[in-house]
Amino acid sequence: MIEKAGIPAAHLAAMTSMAKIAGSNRIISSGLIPHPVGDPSRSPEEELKWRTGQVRKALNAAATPLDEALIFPDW
Amino acid sequence: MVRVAHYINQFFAGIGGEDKADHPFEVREGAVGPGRAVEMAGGGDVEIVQTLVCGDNAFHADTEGTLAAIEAALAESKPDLLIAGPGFNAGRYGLACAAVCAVATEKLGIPALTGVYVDAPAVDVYRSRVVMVPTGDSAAGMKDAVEGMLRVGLRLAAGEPLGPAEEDGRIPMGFRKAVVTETPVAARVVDMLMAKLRGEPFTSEVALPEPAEAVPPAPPVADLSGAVVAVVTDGGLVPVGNPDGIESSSATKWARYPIDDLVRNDDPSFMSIHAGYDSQWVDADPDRLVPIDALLDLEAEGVIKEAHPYYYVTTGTGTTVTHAERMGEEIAKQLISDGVHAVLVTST
Repeated sequence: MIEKAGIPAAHLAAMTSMAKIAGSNRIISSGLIPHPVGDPSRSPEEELKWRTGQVRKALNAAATPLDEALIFPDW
Repeated sequence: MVRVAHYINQFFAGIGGEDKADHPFEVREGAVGPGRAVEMAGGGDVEIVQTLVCGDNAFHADTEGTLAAIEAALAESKPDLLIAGPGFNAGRYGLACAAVCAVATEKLGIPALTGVYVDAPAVDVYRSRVVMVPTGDSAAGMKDAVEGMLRVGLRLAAGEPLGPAEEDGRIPMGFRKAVVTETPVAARVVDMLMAKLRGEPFTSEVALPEPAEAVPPAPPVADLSGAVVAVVTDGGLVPVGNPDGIESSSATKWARYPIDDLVRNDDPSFMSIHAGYDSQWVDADPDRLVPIDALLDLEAEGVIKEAHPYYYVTTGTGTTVTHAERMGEEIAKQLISDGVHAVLVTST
């Protein structure tokens, strides 16, 4: 609905196929189900570094022109 | 002999078409129109004891009054079964059929069912409350519709419990029922997997949702360094005490909370009320769901102009598509009026 309203929305989720079924357009595979932008196995500093990387990916997805829904590759 | 009451509209009663749609409610004795086909399909074991007739516009002009009159008529005739329609793909007629069934079962305990096309409006509104048999989309499918309705209807009248919708020949009502099977789940799922690997047919026991209607992608953000970015999540993160009463599942509410509060995470502190995942890691550090620390770092670096001062939240488990779409529209409206250029959505 947010994309429908004209705002690009990058969707960070572990279950990317579910995000696709639900109708998201910009999908970024991220984390695990209970913590899509968290990784408790890392030290707090490393976790923030990783999370910032995931957010960067999502921002780049929001800045990418698309014709149809895409699960972004882990670049 | 099974005694049946039958509801039909002015068209199937032979009164007239759209020009007679305001025909007032009336009760007729015996079978009228498709009721004769019902009796015929019943092969002498089924009798239509009364036919309830109402014009499509008359019904909806005074739904409450018509339903009260129907309730009174049924309370007097005490049929073993109520059959409504079939309504096929009709909007007003299908809705009326389903509403009449709901009154019969919910107010009087009379088994009732209707027949409708699977995409008819009545299915969306009444599927969880009313037994419905799938029919074709027009009266050309009358014979099959009547036979299908009677097959299920006679079982209802006999007090037999419902089975799985597909086996019964019904439109699924959307609830699950526990049954004891001969084969444990582990064996069933391995059998299913083996069938899949061999390319053989198999039937999943879990109904997957229909894919949502595709939305054309929004135009991209032209310049991230000038963008205001907001976070939206369906992970149920709220201030302790859940001040807006967002539901733990089947949500109908959303809220937004200041990211400043979340950064402090102290008075109020935040926790997830989502009933569909283990929230211990998010409760320990909400950034794992709403990545405000990372977003503020990127703002400081100049990658984005600004993190929007609120994050938006609801609970995404058991939430109906209708409510999800409505909440999405409301959130989008707020985001637009706040001048947000891009959104990060996180889902658990």
